[in-house]
Amino acid sequence: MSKIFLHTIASIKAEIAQPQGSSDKLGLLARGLRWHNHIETEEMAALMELAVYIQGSHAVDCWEVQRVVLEILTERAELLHLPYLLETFYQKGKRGDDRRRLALKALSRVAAHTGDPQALQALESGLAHVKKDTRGWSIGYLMDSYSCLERPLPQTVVQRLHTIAAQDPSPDVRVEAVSALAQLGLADEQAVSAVLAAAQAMQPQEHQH
Amino acid sequence: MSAEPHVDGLGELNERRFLATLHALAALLHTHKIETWAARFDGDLKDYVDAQGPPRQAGRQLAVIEHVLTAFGGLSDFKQLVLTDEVGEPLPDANQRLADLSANLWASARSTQAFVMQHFDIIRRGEHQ
Repeated sequence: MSKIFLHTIASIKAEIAQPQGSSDKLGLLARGLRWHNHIETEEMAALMELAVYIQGSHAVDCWEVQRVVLEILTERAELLHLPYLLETFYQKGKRGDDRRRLALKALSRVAAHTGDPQALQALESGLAHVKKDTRGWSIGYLMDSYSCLERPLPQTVVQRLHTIAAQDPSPDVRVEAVSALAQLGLADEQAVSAVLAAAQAMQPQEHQH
Repeated sequence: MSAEPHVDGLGELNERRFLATLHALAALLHTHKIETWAARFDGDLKDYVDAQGPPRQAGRQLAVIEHVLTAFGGLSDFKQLVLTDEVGEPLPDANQRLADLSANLWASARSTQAFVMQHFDIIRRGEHQ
């Protein structure tokens, strides 16, 4: 058990409880948690208690703390963390891109280790997300998860990838979907030709940046 | 070559996207004086291109890709970067571009990793194993 880790969590809670808590101070304290090397069961339990605590706190911006919780979960998440990860993934509001990216990564860890249907379903739902980054991250993490499970992608996912490859508004996401299908030997010639032609057309624009 | 000739151009496309994104990201970071990360991505780009050959050094290129992907690891500082002006105010357009390039780099690095492995018959290890 690390007294420093638990003390830092207590300090974060105390700062949040202040009438005029400082998000800068919270960020500094949270960074102290990031570099703690040996997070054991008791520390994880305290961290998850903190994660729930900050969800109910709206007086001060707790994003830096939530980010640290999610970063640690990308390396430590287990099945018991699934409810928190699902809630976080579907949560709306500021910093949505970063929050969803970290939640997806942690969910993919749970999915890859356990094959949990809810974790896999959340990853699949990311394919239909309104934000292109989330759709892109979801493709990669779904591929990873099913690869680790040594299972074929479900037909619903394959079908969705074909749809993304043909119709997604983002050329980058279309390339990612076609590339994923190609890795599975499922990319059709028409889709490949379309993304190659689109990339050719985009080249002059890329040079403008 | 792939067993499916029509996907060969796709691997090359992803490799071009990977290199173009590394270049653009390093340039953006130089512009905003984030020199440590800019130098790192410059170095990755140079290492990858140096290994193009011929003959192509696939193992060295895969090591470069792994190095790039560590920027997206759970405790990496890279995804915490915020580009700011002289007085420390965040720059929304620059940060959006950083987010777009980051997402493209991650995706194109992974697709290029698969391309190099498949193309050069190297067995992939799962990220979670």
